[in-house]
Amino acid sequence: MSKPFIRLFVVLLALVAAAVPIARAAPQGLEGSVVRIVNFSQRGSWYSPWDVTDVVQGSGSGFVIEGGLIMTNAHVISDSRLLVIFIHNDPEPYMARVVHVAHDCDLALVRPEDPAVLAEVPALKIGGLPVLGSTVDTLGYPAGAAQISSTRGVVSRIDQTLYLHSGVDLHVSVQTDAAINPGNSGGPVVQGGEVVGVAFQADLRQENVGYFIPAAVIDRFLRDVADGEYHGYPELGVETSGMENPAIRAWAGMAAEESGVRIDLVRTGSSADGLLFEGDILLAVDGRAVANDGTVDDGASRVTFGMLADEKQVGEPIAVRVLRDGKRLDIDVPLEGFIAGDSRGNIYDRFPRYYVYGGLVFVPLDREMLKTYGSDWFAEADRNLMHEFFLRPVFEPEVMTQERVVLLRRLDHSVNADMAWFRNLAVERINGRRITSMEDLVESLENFEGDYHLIEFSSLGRFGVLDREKAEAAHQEILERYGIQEDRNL
Amino acid sequence: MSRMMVNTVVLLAVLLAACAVPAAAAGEKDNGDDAADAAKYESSVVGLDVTYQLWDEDRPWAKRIPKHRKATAVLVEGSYLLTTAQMVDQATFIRLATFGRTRPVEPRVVRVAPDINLALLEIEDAATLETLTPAPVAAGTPTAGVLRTVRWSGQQLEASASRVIGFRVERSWGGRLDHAFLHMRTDMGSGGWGEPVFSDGELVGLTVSQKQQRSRAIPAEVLNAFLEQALAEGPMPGFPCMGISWQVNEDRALAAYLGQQGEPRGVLIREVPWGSSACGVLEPRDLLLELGGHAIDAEGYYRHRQLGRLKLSHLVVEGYRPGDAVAARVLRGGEEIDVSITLRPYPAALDLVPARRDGPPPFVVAGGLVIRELDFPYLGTWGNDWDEAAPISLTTRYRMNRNGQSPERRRYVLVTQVLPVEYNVGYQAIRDAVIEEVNGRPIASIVDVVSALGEPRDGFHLIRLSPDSGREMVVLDAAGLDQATAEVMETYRVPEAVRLPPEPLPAGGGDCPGSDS
Repeated sequence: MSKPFIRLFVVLLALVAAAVPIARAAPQGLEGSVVRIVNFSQRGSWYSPWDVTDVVQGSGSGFVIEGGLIMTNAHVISDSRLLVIFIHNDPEPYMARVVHVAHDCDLALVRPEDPAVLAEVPALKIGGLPVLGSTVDTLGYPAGAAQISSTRGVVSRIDQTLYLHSGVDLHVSVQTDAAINPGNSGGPVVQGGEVVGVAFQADLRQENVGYFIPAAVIDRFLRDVADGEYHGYPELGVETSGMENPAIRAWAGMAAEESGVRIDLVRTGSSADGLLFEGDILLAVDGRAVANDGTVDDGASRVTFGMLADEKQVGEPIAVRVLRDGKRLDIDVPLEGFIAGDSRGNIYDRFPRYYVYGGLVFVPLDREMLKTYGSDWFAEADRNLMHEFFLRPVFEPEVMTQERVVLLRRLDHSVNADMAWFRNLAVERINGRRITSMEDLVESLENFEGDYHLIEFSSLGRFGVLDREKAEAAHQEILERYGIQEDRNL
Repeated sequence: MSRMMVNTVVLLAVLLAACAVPAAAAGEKDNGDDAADAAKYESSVVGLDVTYQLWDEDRPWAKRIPKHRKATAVLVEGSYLLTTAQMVDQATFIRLATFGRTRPVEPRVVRVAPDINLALLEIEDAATLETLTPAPVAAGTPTAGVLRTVRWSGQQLEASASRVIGFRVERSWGGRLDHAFLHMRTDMGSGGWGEPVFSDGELVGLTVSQKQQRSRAIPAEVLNAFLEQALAEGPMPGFPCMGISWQVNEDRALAAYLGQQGEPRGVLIREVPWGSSACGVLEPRDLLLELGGHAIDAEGYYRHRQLGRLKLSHLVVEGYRPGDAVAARVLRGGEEIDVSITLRPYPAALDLVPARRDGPPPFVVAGGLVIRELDFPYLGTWGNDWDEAAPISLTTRYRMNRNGQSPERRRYVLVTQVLPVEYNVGYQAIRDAVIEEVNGRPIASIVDVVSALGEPRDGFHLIRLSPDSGREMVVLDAAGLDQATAEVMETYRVPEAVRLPPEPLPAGGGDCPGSDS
């Protein structure tokens, strides 16, 4: 439910840099449980997918919870090569490792290599949702400083927000005017001696607008990993439209007191596939009436009905009431994760998939590939690729679960130098076979015995041809000439 | 009729003469006679003051504020002035810039050919005509040397030196016709507004644009092709266009795959759109080797008798008329075969996203839904960089489906916005959504919207939108529609609820529509 195509409007807390805020006396003596986390990270290069970027040193915050674990943000520990923690007032660096990471809600759990280092550190307790207008304190190590800082602010709004770490997930977050600066990420937001949130992002366009992840999201994460594995957020898998207009409600046969939204699309392979159908009117979810604008009353405020699935775990059912062909049906939908996995959002903790053949570099069409067009990629990226990524799954729902493959570029060599249309085109077919994954592509090229490979692209009938024998003969030479150690990462 | 005959004879004579003359001498030749020629230009070049008014494409029932442009025209024959179609586009008032003449003169627009960007105007005022002399039109454009670009500047005639750079086949302003343009380096400042270009006292070009000192003009070859039609009586047959899309054939592997031996030559046909000249004759993955007796190289060029190497799309614009057959040789399935293509004009009516260079935007306002067709002027409301600024759903449809018209889909019909009244509550956030169906009827063009709204289903209007609209169904109370439309017109000052195109789209049946035209 929460995969919007929204332009980034808030800037992620970078891990280092920026001005040092004024440090105050830490409240309630909780500072001893707040640790500084230093992450040496290295990412793959999506432009040269066989390559890696420079090593980056980042610094964030975290806090000790029960079980000898440290909670922090996923973005503090992503792509880690070496993780070091510093305990309050202890100059000694301690090696640590990631136990669980949830990129979709920007949370992670870290454990020191030596559990004894936390023996004397009190675990913080997770509390509840703070009241609008109440005061909260933020603890952490902003700007990478070694000394802890504490800032105070009020809870100014509780709403669904785009979680920038994945770039695609919407969850509840809490807005505060407590100064949240780079380096605060992962630090606890406390009230009455308990943790009510994890500081994680800020809106740099507005003054003093910081966001923290509320206890409900933290609790769900901890319950999710209780079995030793993170499964992620479940998704109902439907697209709906509002029914504010009385004519559409009358047409749908709704009673005067009924409200709901119309299901316009059921994603292939999603939780709802085969249980809910296009044209169903969604009347209630999880026992709560769905209003004509798609919101439900969650007790404290109105949230979109999809947020009710957010509170569940993968595998749990959610009760849904629909109006279909004049009948009101109660259906339990077993919830599953998002059908497209992490391919729609920012990618962490793995290197890019790629395959080089005859000097042609193929990669999956994902968000990281589009980001190679620069920070303004949403406007700058090739329009055909944007269509393939964002719009084509809307017209052809099955594409959502498939991997689109792009001919990223060409490593010039006489076997390929004359090939027309050699970059940034989505591959539709190779040697007559429809390409729905990188594996398809590799098989189509490697198991083919004809003289010429036929590579057909998705736009305007474009295609290219590669002499198979020459391409295979030149393969190793091309890799050596361009300094590529492996011809694939699948 | 008689005028056309005479004209043809003159052209033939000039053509023969041109053939007899050897190609332009090497080195730099100055084709102007400086001051001696000024008097000649003075009596054939006139300024135009044009008042024009664009339609408000967001509120298609309204016009925007009138604007002015200054243009140049040249007297070419009798009482006829030649200028570009762009200069008289959406004109509400045209008059000659008088330059010492006392009476304001309003020339009459006789012919406009947006696809080739030329227009013919007529001066009916005898006294004005007495002061003017027609300029002869050259049979061919010089391929080297210095030409004269001429316009009135204040009360002075300005004749600027313009050195020939070369010829390039590019898209015309009006739509999809490609032809050769003369590129020059000019001394003129801020030209490109229809200024005539002369060589040895003959008209050889008409400017269409200028960037810094680089100027672009329609060459004499194309001017002649237009004049021949424009000066004849009866409707203009228009200009033929192949309408195909092709890609270069430089890749030996690709050529070999297509069964070609030796060096690659000819171009690879990629798409043959419905309704184009080549529809039913050429096929995707043909290699087009020869056209009209000219060999086509692997980059898509042929050798023009005068202008040198030109892209193949120019070939039919200059030498052919709609209805003519042009011979082609293609490689298909490893065999060379000869085919004959009966040429048609660019099928502008068959554009899925038309350029719409003339006339007001058609629209329907129904219950506050503002409905219109997707066309260039509407995309232009996002500014010059509309390709980046307009919604991707629209730009994609433009790019991916430029030639994608079919009997089922003649145009994209959009709900561009919803003018809010209580009747349409819940739908007011809709922007630029493509309509698929109204009351169960597929919507191929805006005309279908009007007829489908006459057939509500069980008291409701059911409007189904494209899957990328964020909403699939818009359901309206049929009984309340007319009253709601009236309320919208009153509230938002919309003078009329429906404006349909003056002519219906040509018949949509068959494999290649329009073949009988």
